[in-house]
Amino acid sequence: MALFFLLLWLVVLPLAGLALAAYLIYRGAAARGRRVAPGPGAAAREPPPAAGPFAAPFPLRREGEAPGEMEAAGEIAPAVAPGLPESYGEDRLVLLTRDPYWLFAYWELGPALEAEARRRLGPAYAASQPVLRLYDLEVGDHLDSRLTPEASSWYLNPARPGHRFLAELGLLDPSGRFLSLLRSNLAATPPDGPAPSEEGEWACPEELFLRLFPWLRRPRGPGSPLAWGRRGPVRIEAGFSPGLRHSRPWG
Amino acid sequence: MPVEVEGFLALILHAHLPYVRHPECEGGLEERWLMEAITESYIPLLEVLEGLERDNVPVRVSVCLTPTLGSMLTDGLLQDRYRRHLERHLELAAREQERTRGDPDFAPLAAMYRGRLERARDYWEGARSDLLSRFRGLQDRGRIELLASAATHGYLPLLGLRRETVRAQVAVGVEAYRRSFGRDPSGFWLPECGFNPGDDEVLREFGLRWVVLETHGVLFASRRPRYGPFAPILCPSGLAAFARDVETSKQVWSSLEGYPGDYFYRDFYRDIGYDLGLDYLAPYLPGGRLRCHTGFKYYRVTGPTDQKQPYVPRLAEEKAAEHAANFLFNRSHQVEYLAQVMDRPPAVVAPYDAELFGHWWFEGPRWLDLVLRGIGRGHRLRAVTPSDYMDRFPRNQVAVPSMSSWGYKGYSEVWLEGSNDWIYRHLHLAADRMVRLANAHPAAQGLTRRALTQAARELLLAQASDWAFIMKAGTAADYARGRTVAHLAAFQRLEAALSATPPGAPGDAVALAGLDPAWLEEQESRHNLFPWLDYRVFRSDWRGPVLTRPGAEAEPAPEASVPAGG
Repeated sequence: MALFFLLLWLVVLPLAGLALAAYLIYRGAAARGRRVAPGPGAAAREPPPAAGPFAAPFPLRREGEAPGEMEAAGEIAPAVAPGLPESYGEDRLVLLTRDPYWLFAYWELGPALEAEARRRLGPAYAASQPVLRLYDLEVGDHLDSRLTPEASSWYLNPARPGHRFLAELGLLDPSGRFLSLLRSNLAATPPDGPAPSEEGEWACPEELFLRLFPWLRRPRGPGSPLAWGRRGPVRIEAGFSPGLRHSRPWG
Repeated sequence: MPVEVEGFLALILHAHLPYVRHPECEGGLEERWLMEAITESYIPLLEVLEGLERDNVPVRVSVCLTPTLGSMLTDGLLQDRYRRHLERHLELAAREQERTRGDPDFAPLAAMYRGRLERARDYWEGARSDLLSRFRGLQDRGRIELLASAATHGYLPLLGLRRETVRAQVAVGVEAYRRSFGRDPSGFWLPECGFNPGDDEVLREFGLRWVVLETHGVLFASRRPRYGPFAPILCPSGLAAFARDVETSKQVWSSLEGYPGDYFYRDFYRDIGYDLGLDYLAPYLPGGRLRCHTGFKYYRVTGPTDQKQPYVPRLAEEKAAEHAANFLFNRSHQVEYLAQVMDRPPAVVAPYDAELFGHWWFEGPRWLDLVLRGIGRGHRLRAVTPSDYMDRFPRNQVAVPSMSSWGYKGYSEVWLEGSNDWIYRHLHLAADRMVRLANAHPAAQGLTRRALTQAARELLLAQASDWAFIMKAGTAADYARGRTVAHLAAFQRLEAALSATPPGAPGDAVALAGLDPAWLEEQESRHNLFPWLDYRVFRSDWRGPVLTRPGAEAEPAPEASVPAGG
């Protein structure tokens, strides 16, 4: 019984997390439509908040030693900035690396490609759904993100440090067939810890390596990747389909 | 008697401000960033460095003045404005002395501020308004090493979708350095310490020898670094990557554990700009009514309370001395410990924002002075620059550093999140089109050339990492959004006309394609960064000129050179 609940939690918690993340992203996307950014020169300037000690009035670049401030400060910006075109008439899908766990994709998909999709899918077009398919080039599997129709960007959380990825934007028809419309550039996530061991001509035994930075064993704030020494890498594998059914698009 | 060297300390001061020159509006809030930084940080730091030279203290420090800051420091309009800003503040200082007359706590402080402003004016006059030359002089006399940086502080990991973009940022940054300092750079400050594997190859094209990465950039390299962050690793391209030291950064940076938060230090936030009546302050505020920092701050940090105590310079001075001694004590123990583990002296690399010293941490320049003088008196440490270290230890372990930055969480999240992710679709596309234009026009002339150059300039200005950072930080976010849109919109206007201009057509053909020469001229005078800019830095086949060794005679400027195959 206890095992059953344990398993239940192991399944439910990550799913709930994913659902929450998806909701937040959706809210973000929805908020974009509403806000309007003032144009240049219309800056409503206010004195800096007398909050945390590092909220300097001009942008001192610094590490975020006070995560609370940094987290709270940013606001969701409009997707469309007045004064800039909504689209450029160039179909493209771009994949950017945010950190070892997250990627960001944005795209522009013009009417011509959409018309082609309509033609190729035929009657299934109406029932098909926009999907961003992320291929993990190390493992050879993929992760599908079902997109909201109005989305033009998406945050992806493969949580796979040190992997290379490639994305395709396409439509998933009711039978599960994926029609790829756009392919992205290649993006790599950085590792989230030191290389497993020393190679080659330089030898450095494990105990010596750790003696060089004993502080790695101490707990560190959430703002530093060096927290790996305490918590170990985060790995969320949920959501990845086990195998790649069709041939690799890059091969 | 000199003590045997156990370790090297590489202090790096990174001075940067985005390009906030607004000819149309004097005394704006953003322009004051520059004015305040000159009075409170750049001049005090120069005084410290020149004082060390005068007393022949055997220490070396690295300083980076970014190309945008350097351009503003040499801009005649801004120099005149600084002088007027200083005069207004001297007037305010006189009124403050009058206002606080007889007050045992505040009168001495008003006198102190007046004295500092007078010293700043004397320094400014002595330097003939040219601070950049003072830094150059210190480098020429071997006292400091100046670093180059990217053209407009572009955050390379997110711009680097095209190598041409990285190359243009580096090429223009290196050229700005050569023009300002009359030699080739050896070290390069990566904006935000942002590094992506492969960027090192571009930096090597320009003969650059070393960069500084956030600690995990080296620690998480493709191979375990044998000396951890206490020696550089060499990228396969040959570029050395030094790692920022965790302990030294925390002691100075951290808002909780760091020195600047000490209760006896001057409080940054309590400023008469917010405390006194608008009638009194009006002549010294932007627009006569926008409250902001004036620099007149009479209280000390005191503690987590609003009941601040008056600032007492003598107690703060004692604290600065105590903290300098503590810093040296800690470094001494750090290198002693490391010396047991390493078979060569460790290099402790401590980069800081220059504006931290003086502007934010009022006593910072004094602390720095005491630290460097302490080292100079024969400490176990030697204060060197990374180039000095490289000269001594040229052989280093080869590994590919990890993508990293010194931003919050250590990667790209600060510059890629809900408030600012919208900029990249515009920035990347503009870069694509700029490359296309530069490739199509190998040798444009006349108006077409000017339009191409201005397009490159607007793109570089839009690429500044500051805009994304400010959008994220929330303060002045409208300004940052406005700047991003304004530069991109100007780029697009130029690009539209240039795309309709056949390559090789007469120089003024771009006007026939719809470009208004009067508008271009206005744009050139408003956004006048890098007057020598060559748009061909965006060509796919652009290669940097072959650099001479640092300190040797400079090669001819790239104006005279032709891009390979171009």
